[in-house]
Amino acid sequence: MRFYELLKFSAQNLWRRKLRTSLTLLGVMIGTASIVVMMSLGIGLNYSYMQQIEQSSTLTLITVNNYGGGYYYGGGYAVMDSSSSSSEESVQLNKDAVERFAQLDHVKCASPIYSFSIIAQSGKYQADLYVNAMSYDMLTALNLPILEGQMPQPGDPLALLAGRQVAYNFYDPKSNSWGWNDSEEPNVDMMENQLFAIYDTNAYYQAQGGETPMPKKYILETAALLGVEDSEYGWSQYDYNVYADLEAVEREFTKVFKKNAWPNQQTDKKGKPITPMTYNQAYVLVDDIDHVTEVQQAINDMGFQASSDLDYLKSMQEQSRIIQYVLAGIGSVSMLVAAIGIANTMLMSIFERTKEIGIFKVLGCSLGNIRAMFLSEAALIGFSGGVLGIGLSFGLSKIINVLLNNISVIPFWLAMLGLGFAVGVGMIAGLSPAIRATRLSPLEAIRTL
Amino acid sequence: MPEIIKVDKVHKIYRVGETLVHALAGVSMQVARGEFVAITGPSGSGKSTLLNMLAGLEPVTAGEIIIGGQHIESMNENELVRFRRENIGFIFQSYNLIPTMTAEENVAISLMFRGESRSLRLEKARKMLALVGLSDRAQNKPSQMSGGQQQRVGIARALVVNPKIIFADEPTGNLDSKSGAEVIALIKKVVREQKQTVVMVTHDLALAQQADRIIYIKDGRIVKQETTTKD
Ligand SMILES: Nc1ncnc2c1ncn2[C@@H]1O[C@H](COP(=O)(O)OP(=O)(O)OP(=O)(O)O)[C@@H](O)[C@H]1O
Ligand SMILES: [Mg+2]
Repeated sequence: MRFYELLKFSAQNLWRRKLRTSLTLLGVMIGTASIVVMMSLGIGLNYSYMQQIEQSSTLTLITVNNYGGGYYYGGGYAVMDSSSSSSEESVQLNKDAVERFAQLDHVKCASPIYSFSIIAQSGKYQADLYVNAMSYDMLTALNLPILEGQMPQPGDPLALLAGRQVAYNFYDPKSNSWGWNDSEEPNVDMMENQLFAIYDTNAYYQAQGGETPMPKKYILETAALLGVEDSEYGWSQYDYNVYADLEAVEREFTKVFKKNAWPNQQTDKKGKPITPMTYNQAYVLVDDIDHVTEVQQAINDMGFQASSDLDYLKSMQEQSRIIQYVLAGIGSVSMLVAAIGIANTMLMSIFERTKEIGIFKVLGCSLGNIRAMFLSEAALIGFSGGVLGIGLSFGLSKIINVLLNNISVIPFWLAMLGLGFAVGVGMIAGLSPAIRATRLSPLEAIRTL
Repeated sequence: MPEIIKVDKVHKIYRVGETLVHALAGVSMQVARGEFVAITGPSGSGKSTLLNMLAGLEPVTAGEIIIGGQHIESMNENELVRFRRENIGFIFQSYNLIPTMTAEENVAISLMFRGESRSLRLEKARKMLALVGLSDRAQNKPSQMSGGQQQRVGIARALVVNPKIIFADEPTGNLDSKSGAEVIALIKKVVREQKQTVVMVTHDLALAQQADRIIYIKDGRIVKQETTTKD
């Protein structure tokens, strides 16, 4: 028998038993839909974690810390010990170290983060700002979400890139009030109002006593306001931070501090600044999310502490995977019930058709054909039920998404998986009835009524 | 004359609980190509058992059955199905049509197992139905036909594949003597044209006289064989 005729013959046989076929189809349809919808919830969960994290950060960004206790003995990392011998080499997070990070495979860009506080003044208002300075390359690579203004170019004088929430830090030191209520706009528009900066904050606080002179103020521009436009999950970190180009900072500080120590620069016993400068943090940007763990490991092996949001995402995904298994398990139960339904339908159909099978055998229908007939009937039920089930799943998923804020996602592969599963379950359920049909003795089969 | 069927000392023993039923006790016979043989005998004598074994529907307890040079007693189920498909047409006493199919579909079904295309199948089936005089009943379901008409559909189904041998187990058992005679005449007519061999079981002696030779069976043994005299 030809394959196409086999299918047609099976379809005719199913059509002859419309009621039972449609009830079995219903079972398969519900079974498929419950698996697909359950899995779509798990996948949706994963997607939303991913989006949440992607929106608030860059997953390929590694933050490197040096908590000051790191010593490097040719491979191992040791806790600082005051009696450490000279053969131990203390790791320092300085420009050399960052240069070594940049040399690692898959690293797109690496930069030290020089963080320091400044006092910014505008009219009668004043704010303590915490500035994160990094290389121009890193600033561009981070793809900062600019709402207003422009990135300063290399060589431009020092200018801030400030989150849109930063302006709320300005207060009136005279009245010592913040000068704004929740509903109000901040008093300073950083883009419009002229800012003056005091870089030597230590001198500023000493001058409060009135004995030492006030440090000099410098004009400071704000080049751009940052923020994620309509972030679905609240404000992003960019809304609160202040960034600057490290080279511009270095040029400015060389002018401001001359031979003296810069903010957060270590000094020796005589108070002279120690060079090269060490930093608390560095950023390392990796070319692909798949290589983040590997690069992180390499940096840890150098004696630093590397971390990334990928760690966090992974633990979230691990959690959501467990939820997915549970959901798929619930869906499988209804598929199991559907499989029993298919097996039952096929068995009934064999009992009903015993005589027919006997006649077919006498007429010379091969055993393979008989087996194929019953298997393809079962597969056909599985396939049609699967197609209907996928349709139902998309419908249900739409409804769930309207009611519950886009939590169900059905990717193409899931639809195909559901369909394949339905056909597979149908064939497995039909297997034993099909084998049974081939085993019937033709004479006995004909004698049954 | 070359024999197409050769049966040699065939025994068939059924076990029913503790007792053994010797349905066939050493049957030997031969059938020549193109011959029309009738098997007759009292009820329970083993006629159907013999026919079923010739068609490979029932295993042999002892002895040999050679059809067209092939030992069928040693074939497995797959080989038997192929053997039947290629050599044999079977006519049942109780018609055994598929109730959900029309007359022409019933006839065409044995061609389907041979992998013939649908259009060719239906064309051959209609020709065969015309030959048995049922052109106007091609679209009827079995339940919409008389017993004689159903039996003619059964004959058409057995003959449409152009088998070398036709086995018929009491093909007229459910018919009155007039339509019984018509059915036998029909079988004879078709078979003569195609030079096919027929083995028919009947206990109607008048119908058996239509055959070339009559084999009498009693208690699982052949007791007499006679060639009919033709006028
Ligand atoms: N499946 C079986 N199991 C046990 N005994 C059987 C079986 N089939 C037939 N027999 C026995 O074998 C003997 C021959 O039966 P068979 O059907 O061949 O008779 P028959 O000559 O065709 O009779 P009838 O003219 O009534 O059809 C009978 O005694 C019957 O009881
Ligand atoms: Mg009988």
